[in-house]
Amino acid sequence: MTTPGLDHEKLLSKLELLRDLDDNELRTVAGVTRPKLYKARQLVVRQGEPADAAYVIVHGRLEASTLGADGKKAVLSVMGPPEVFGELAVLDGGPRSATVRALEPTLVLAIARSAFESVIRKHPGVAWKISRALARRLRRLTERVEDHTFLEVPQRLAKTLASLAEEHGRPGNKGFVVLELALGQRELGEMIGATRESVNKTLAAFTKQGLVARDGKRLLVRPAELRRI
Amino acid sequence: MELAAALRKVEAFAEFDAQEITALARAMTTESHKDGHVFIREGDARRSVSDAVFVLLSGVVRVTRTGDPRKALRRELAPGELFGLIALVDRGARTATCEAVGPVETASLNRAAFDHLLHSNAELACKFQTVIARQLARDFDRLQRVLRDAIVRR
Repeated sequence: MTTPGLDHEKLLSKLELLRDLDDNELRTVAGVTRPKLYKARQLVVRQGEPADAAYVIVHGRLEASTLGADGKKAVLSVMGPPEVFGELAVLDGGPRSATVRALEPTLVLAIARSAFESVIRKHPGVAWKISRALARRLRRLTERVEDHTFLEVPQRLAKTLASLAEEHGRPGNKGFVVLELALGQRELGEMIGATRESVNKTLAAFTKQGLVARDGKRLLVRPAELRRI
Repeated sequence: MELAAALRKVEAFAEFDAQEITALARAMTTESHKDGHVFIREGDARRSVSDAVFVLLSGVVRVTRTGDPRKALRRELAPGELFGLIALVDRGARTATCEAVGPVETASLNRAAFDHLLHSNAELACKFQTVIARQLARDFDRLQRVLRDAIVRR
């Protein structure tokens, strides 16, 4: 028989930030988490509010967004299990950098900052292990920033579709990866900072090249080939 | 001790007690450099001469990346900031070039001194590792904001 506690530990062990932790350390972290359930469209954190907890997604999907200077919403990412968000809050308070809203009924595990500090006091090695994971993520994020400030729309869209497929897709026929996300051209445009029209044009070109296909609401993509664009 | 006094003013070490500051100061080396001195060069592999972490004591250090022609990632560090942490933590190649803009004073801690310091004092090790994790978390947060601005501005 499995207990919820053990399931939580297993989930936590999948998180990149906690990947280097041993079973004992993970058990302590699991012990300080609190489950929270959100309805579709419900607000989880609001940009600018003080951050006091990190969230681990157990099931469901959430959207991180921000408002541009023109007041338009820009979708930064779509998140699902076993992703974590707001995790910097457990190390360093400060305001939330984005608004997060549930896209569907969603269960998360919340880790309060004060609870996490008690974990570090109990297991002094945890801070170093998290630093290693942060260093890895910083290297990747640096490249992503460069991509975004340097690449043109087709490359940005190709990279974004590849990432979505790698994170949320499941294997389909003929080497395609199936994306079940309800992401339209407008949402994709918000994610890469392009107009719906240019996303439409680029997707048409990708379809012609056999990199992308539609199957009703589903999007079929070839992440490896898209990465080479 | 002059370095200890300077380190006591560094916000990152605010939770260090007097003894810990003294131990840290003893392990670090102060250096003065002229304009243009390169502390860290992007792409340098570990075990190079620059295999150290630095605390900027006075002056300005500019951080740049070659793959960043629009300078979205360019940054100028102010006194009290730490640099060189990523490679210290994961022993990978240096991610950016850090050079002096005008005369600069730093305190550096090379890897051997860092390892020795951490092994000799468990309490200090825990605090120093938390300082590093917090700084990396802040850097990550800052980069996410840069990325967000890049997305929103288009």
